[in-house]
Amino acid sequence: MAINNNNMVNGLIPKKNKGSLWLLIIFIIFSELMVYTWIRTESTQTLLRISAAEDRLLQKRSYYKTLLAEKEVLKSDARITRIAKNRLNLSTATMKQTIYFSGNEG
Amino acid sequence: MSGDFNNRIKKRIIVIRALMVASILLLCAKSFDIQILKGKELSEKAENDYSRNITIKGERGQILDQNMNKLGASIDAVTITACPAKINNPGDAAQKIADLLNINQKRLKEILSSKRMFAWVQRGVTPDLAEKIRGLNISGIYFENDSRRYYPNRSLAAQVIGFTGTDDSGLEGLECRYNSVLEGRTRKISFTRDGNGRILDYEKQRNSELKGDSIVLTIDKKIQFLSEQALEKAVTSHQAGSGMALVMKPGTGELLAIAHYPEFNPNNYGNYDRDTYRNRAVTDAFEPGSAMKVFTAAAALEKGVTPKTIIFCEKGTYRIGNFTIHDTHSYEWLTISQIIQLSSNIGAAKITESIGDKALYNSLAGFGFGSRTEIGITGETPGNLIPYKKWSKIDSGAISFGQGISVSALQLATGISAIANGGSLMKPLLVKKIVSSRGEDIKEYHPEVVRRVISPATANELKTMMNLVVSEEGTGTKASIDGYEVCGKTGTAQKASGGEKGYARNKYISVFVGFAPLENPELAVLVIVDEPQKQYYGGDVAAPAFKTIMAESFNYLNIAPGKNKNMVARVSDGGKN
Repeated sequence: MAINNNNMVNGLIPKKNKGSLWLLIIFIIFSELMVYTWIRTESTQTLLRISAAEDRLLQKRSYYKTLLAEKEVLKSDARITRIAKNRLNLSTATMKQTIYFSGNEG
Repeated sequence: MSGDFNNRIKKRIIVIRALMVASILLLCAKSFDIQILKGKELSEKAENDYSRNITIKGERGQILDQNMNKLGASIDAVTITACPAKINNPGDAAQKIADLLNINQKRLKEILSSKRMFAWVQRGVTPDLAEKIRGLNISGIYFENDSRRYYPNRSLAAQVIGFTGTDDSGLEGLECRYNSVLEGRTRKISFTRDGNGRILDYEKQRNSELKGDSIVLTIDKKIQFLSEQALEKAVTSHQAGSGMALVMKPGTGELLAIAHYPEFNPNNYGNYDRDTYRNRAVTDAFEPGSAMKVFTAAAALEKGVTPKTIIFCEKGTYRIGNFTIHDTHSYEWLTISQIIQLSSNIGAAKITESIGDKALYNSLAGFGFGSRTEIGITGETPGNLIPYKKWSKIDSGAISFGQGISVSALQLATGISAIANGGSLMKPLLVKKIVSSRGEDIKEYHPEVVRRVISPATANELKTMMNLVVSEEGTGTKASIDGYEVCGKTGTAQKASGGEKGYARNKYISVFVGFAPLENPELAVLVIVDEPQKQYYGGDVAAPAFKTIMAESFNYLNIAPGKNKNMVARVSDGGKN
C-alpha cells in the first residue's frame, strides 16, 4: 500500500504493468510488421495473378485475331470458287439464267 | 544477500533495456538513412534490377474493302532475339530452336556462337511456336511481342494494297502511301519484374490504345475477284504478257476494282518479280489506240459537228505528209457515228483536220489526258499529251486515233466515265474513309467533280455511237450482253519498239472500254491486254473479258436487265443450271 501510494505520488504506472506495456508495444509493432509483410506479399501475388490473367486475355485475343484472319481466308472468293467448281461441280451464275419470253410485257 | 541479487538483476535489466533502446535507436537511424537519406538512390538501384524501360508500338491499322472485308490486317507475332554472350551451349540451343522454327541450324549456330550482346533470331513467329521455344528455357533467348502483316485474300488487289517490310513499314501500294495513317503510335513504358524475374506485364494492355487507323477502300472484294478471274482468262487464253482491268462507278468516280495480271502474293512478295508489284493502272502509260476516237468524236460534237455529218474515208488509204494511214477495210463516205462504229482511222484523222488541232487538244486535256488524276497513289503517271503547237501533221492525225499519245488506264476509265455520267469528269476515288481503331470516322472522301467536259447532249450522242460499236455491224460485238444496252469502244494499238524509232511489229495492246446500261450507266469497265499472241484486236481479245466482268458484276449487284427485250421473268441468283 505504501509502494502503491509512492507510485501514485510519483504519477507513474506500477512497475509490474510497465513490462506488460512494453510487451504490448512490441507485440503491436511486430503485428504491424507481420500485417505489412502479409499485405506486401498479397499485393505482389495479386499483381502476379493480374499479370497472368492479362497474359491469358492477350493470348485469347491473339487467338481471336488469328481466327478472324483465318475466317477471312476461308471465305475468300478464290477458295469458295475453287471448291464450288472442283468439288461441287457448280458454275458461276451468269446472265444466261435470264429467261426471255416473246410477246409484250405484262 | 537478497538485496544484492535484486540490485544485480535490476542492473542487468537496465543494461538490457539500454541495449534494446540503443538497438532500436540504431535501427531507427539506419532506417532513416535507408529510407530518407539514401532512399532515392537505392530505389533507383532496385528499379534498375526489377524494371526496364522499353518503347512499344501499336498494331498497324487495317485495309478494308467497301463492305468492311479485310484486305490487309495484322496478327500477333513474336520476335525472338538473343544475347549470344549469355548462351551457355550455342550448338544445343541452335539445334533445338532451328528444329522448331524450321530454319538453317548452321546459320543460327554461327549467330548464337558470336560474342555479341544482341542478335535477331526470327521475326514474325506465331505465338504458339514462341511458347514452345520459351518452354525450352534457354538462357539468353528473349521474346518480344510484335505483330505481322497478313493478307487473307492473298493476291487479291495486291498491286493496289501493296505490302509492308519486316519492320512493319509500308513498302508498296497503299501500305506505303498511307503508312503514316496505318502505322501504330509508339510509347515508352516500363516493365516491372518480380523477384523471380517474372514480368508484371500490366502496362502491355495499353498497346490497344496505340493501334493505327484503318482505311476503307471503294474496292468491292467480289467485283475485284471476278475482274481478276476474267482478266486472267483473257491474258492466259491469248498468251499475252500482262493485263489490267478497271471497274468504276461513272456517277461518283469510285473504283470498284483494279485488277492486274500477272499477280503476286504480298504474304511472300520476295518470291515474285519486282515488276509485278507496281500498280500499273496508275503508274504506266500506254497508247490507247482506237479507244481514243470516242474523245475525238466528243471534240467534234462540241464544235458543232453532228453525228450524221459525213466524211470521205479515202477507200482505206490516206496520206498525211510522208506517212500513209490505213483502215482495216476500205470505206468511202462514213458518218461520225459510223467512224466510231467501224473504227476508221482515216475518218478520225479527217475529223481532226476539220475541227483543228487546238480543239482536239483542248478536248483531250479537258478529259484529263496529260495530267495526273490526283487519286493519291505514289508514282502516278500524267501520261503524255504533247501541246498542240508542237504537233506535226501526222501527230494530229495519229493522236485522233490513239497513237502518239499515251494515257494511263485510270485516265482512260475516268474519261469514259465522264461520257457515261453525262459529261462531268469525276476525280477517281479509291479511299473512301479513314477510321480510328475504335471505329470512328476520322476523314471521309466524297465524290468530287473536277470539271464539266462535254454537254449532256454531246454525252448522249456519244453513248448512242458507242452503243452501235457493240451492235452486229460494230467492232465490239463480243462485248454485248443479253438484256442490257452496252456502250463501248474497241482499241488496238501498236506498241512502240523499244529503243528504236517507230512501232514494233506484232506487238499490240488490245483495249476495250465501255459502260452499261446505256440509259443510266451503273458501271464503266476498261480491259487492257498487253501483247496478245495470234489474235490482237481489242474486239476479239479484250471485249469478251469486258463482257464477263460487266455481266457478272450486274448479276452480283442485282442490276436488272433493260425492258427492251420483252423480258418478263428472271431466275433468281444461284439457281441451278
